[in-house]
Amino acid sequence: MSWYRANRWWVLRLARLPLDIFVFGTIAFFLVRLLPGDPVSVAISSRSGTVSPEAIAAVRTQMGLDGTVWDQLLRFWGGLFQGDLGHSLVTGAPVIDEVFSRLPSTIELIVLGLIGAFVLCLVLGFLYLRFANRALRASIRVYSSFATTVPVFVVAIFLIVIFYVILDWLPAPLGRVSSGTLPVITGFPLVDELLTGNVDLFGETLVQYIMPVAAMVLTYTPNLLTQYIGGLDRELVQPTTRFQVAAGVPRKWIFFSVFRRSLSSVVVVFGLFFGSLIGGAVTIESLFGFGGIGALGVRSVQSVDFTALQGFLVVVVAVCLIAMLVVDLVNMWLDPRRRPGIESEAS
Amino acid sequence: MAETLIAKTVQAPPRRPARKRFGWLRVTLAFLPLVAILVVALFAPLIAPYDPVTTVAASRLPPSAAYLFGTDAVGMDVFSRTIFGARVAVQFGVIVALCSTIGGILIGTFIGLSESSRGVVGWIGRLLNQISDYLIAIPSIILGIVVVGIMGSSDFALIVAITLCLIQATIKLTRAEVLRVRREAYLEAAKLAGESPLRSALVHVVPNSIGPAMRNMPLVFGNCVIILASLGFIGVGVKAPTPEWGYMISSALSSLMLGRWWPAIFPAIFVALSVLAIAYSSRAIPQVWPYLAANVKKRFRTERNSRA
Amino acid sequence: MTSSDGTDFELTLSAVRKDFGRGHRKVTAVQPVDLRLDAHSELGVIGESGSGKSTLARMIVGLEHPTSGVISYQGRSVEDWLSNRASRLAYRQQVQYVAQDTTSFDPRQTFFESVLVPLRILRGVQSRSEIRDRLEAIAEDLSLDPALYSRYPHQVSGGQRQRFALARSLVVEPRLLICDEVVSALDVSVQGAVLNLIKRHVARHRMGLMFVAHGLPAVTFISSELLVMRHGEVVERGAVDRVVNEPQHPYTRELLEAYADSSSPESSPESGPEQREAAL
Repeated sequence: MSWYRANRWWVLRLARLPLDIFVFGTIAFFLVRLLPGDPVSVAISSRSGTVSPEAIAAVRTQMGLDGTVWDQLLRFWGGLFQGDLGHSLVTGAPVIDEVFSRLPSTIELIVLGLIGAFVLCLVLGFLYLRFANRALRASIRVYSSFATTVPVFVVAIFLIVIFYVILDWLPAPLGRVSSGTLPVITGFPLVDELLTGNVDLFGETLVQYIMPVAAMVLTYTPNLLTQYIGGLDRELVQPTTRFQVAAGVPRKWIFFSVFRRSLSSVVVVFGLFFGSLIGGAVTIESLFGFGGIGALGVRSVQSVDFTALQGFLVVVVAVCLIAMLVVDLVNMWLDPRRRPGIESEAS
Repeated sequence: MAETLIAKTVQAPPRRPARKRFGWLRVTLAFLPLVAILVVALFAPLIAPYDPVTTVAASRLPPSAAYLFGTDAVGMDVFSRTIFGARVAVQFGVIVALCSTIGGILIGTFIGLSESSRGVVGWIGRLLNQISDYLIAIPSIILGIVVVGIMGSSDFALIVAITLCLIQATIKLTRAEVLRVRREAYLEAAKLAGESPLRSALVHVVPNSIGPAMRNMPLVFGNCVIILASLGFIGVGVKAPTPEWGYMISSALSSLMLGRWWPAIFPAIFVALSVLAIAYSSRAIPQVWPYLAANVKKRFRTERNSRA
Repeated sequence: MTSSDGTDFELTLSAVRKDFGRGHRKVTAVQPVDLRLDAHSELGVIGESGSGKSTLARMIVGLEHPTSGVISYQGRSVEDWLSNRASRLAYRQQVQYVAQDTTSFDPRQTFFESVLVPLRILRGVQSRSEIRDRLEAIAEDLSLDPALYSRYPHQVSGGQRQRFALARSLVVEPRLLICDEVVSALDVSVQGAVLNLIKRHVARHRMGLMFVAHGLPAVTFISSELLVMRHGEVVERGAVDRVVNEPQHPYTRELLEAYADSSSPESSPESGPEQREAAL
């Protein structure tokens, strides 16, 4: 019992995740049924000749769209618990496979962009802290004020114009590889290319990644940077820092201490803009011809693919929820004040 | 150098010095970017030399005196289209900002007031709060794709989609403010004066808690421009010939691969400029607002006194 | 039941108790207390902050619900009074509550707009000229300049704001007035003036008074009966003279000694340093 009380903060937070996904799945289920158009008639219209009512009913059953909405909902829930999201109405492939064949490449892009943004943020934060140069500090501040403004695809267009059209240093933004097909093992293109030992393809993809990842880094660094600079400014005047100065702690250590303490303010924003990262990745993929998760969403809306769309929604939201969960947990771990139920035990 | 840094920051906080000296210059500078966009949008037909949706010349002409930004793949004037693009963006921005602010204030007030109350009202409030929590979990572009897919591609669908993406912030801001106002003693006084809950909500709670939501409005406007351009870019935005920046960029990609950069770069520059301008104004206006309000009120009062 | 003879009324509390929180966090704000108030009552309630005296007052006007026990007015429980619109308005008109003013006025309304609301709703006065007359009369009574009605709360002094708070309650001519710390935030010089106004008004209109405060001088000045509370418990009650001259409970004695020590009879140990400065 005492274990539970001490660890309640993360146990409760963790327990909420399946519930959230379940509720959201139900919302998605009803949402996609608002789509105009009937998937059965879409599927049948591609066949030639007249179609008998029996055939329509057969197709309906085959698609899992027979019975009332409630029957379908029960089946959907049942599938959800087993990790089965049904079969695509258009391609017939399991939705879960369709989603997971595309999701890793999107996540790879996001992770690369995030790592780059994080590193750039640390570098700029270091410059900001190390050099008291007014012009440098002002320019870092101005750059950080670009947070959540210019959309990532606009930055990418600028990069393409400069590095492809004018300078011609980088290849045309047309997919990950110019020839051949990507090997598929884990779904993460870079990892797969390394695993199959295909160094040529790996290099090619790496070069293709320069512009999209640079665009993401340039776009998302200010988000982290505003928080980080704010954190640095706050930490510098904290009593802790003053005490260290007064106690004659070496400068290097003071810097390190301030640097580390300000990092927790960066973690907070990760959860907040993960959604916009996915949105940004969708536009970037469409711009560079990568064809990731966003293309699946557009396709399933256009082809009235109920199951694919609801599966797509559930997975995307689950990814976002998991990202938020991780950020929440890290935050609570770093800062006990954020743990729910803490104040009740204090008083 | 590092030593001076520590000494300096410990003596004086590195926060920007409080800006006490306001002037009309500052006020003008704060409003200028926003007003410039609005002016371009308003007077687009006067500024643009050609009709934005008709072919006026050969395709992909480079920029020249006659065609400032060149022509695009079907021979439409890129300059005219870009200028009219501001008009489209502003139209959507204003409507979405109004919808999400008014809707957000109403929903946020309802959630704030119904919180911790029992019965049906409490449940509805909690449900709305939960839904608005889920809304941030969905990336706005994904939400846009789905809503536009469901409602069909129309201006109304786009407005609904973008409003759904942006209303959450207004709801949260208003809710927090309502929760603060709710504890104020004047609500108790109103109750003791016999005012009904509905009346006191409309007369006391709403006017006293709309501040943050109103200050958030320029930001909603800016975000709307971003989302509209992004949706247009991936092909679920406004319909084809309409001069919308995101759609213009995506349709110019084929030209870009051929090395013709002008149809893509100019709308991109305008998206960036307008979004930065709105962001700047939305940060600067709240800073000069107290000065402006105080001066306007003073002027108004002296006028009234001189009349009396 | 709602009808009554003249201005007489009877409000009784029987075994009224109030807890806040649940489980191991439960705090008892008011231990079971019995009390009776009528048109001749001048009851003072005194105690340090957190002693439950405000909770007691707020329960009477229905801002808090007692955990157990019954508060009844004219033989009918307050819960019952507040259950439907007509009797709720009647009860609100007859029992009025004034709190410390600091935030009790909507910052976006003028005093005129704030004060006319109870008159309109609780008294049903609709004609503009009558509203104007009544507001001016009450302002006169509380020695307020009627011109101040067009001001906003932040434009007047604390004493004026407090008098407007009183005006808002008194304008409906209640039978029982409950004052909760109405003078605690005021300067000592203003305190006396406000207390005098309350005393005079209550005497003239023959209304019952319950006066809650943490400052002893104010309470002894205005009331004839005293209730001393500590940690939610009534530790001593009786006529003011009796309690002041022969305190029974050690806490009351402590309280009285604290005042005897201080040089000025108007200052109180709990009041802020700036107030004590003003008194010295």
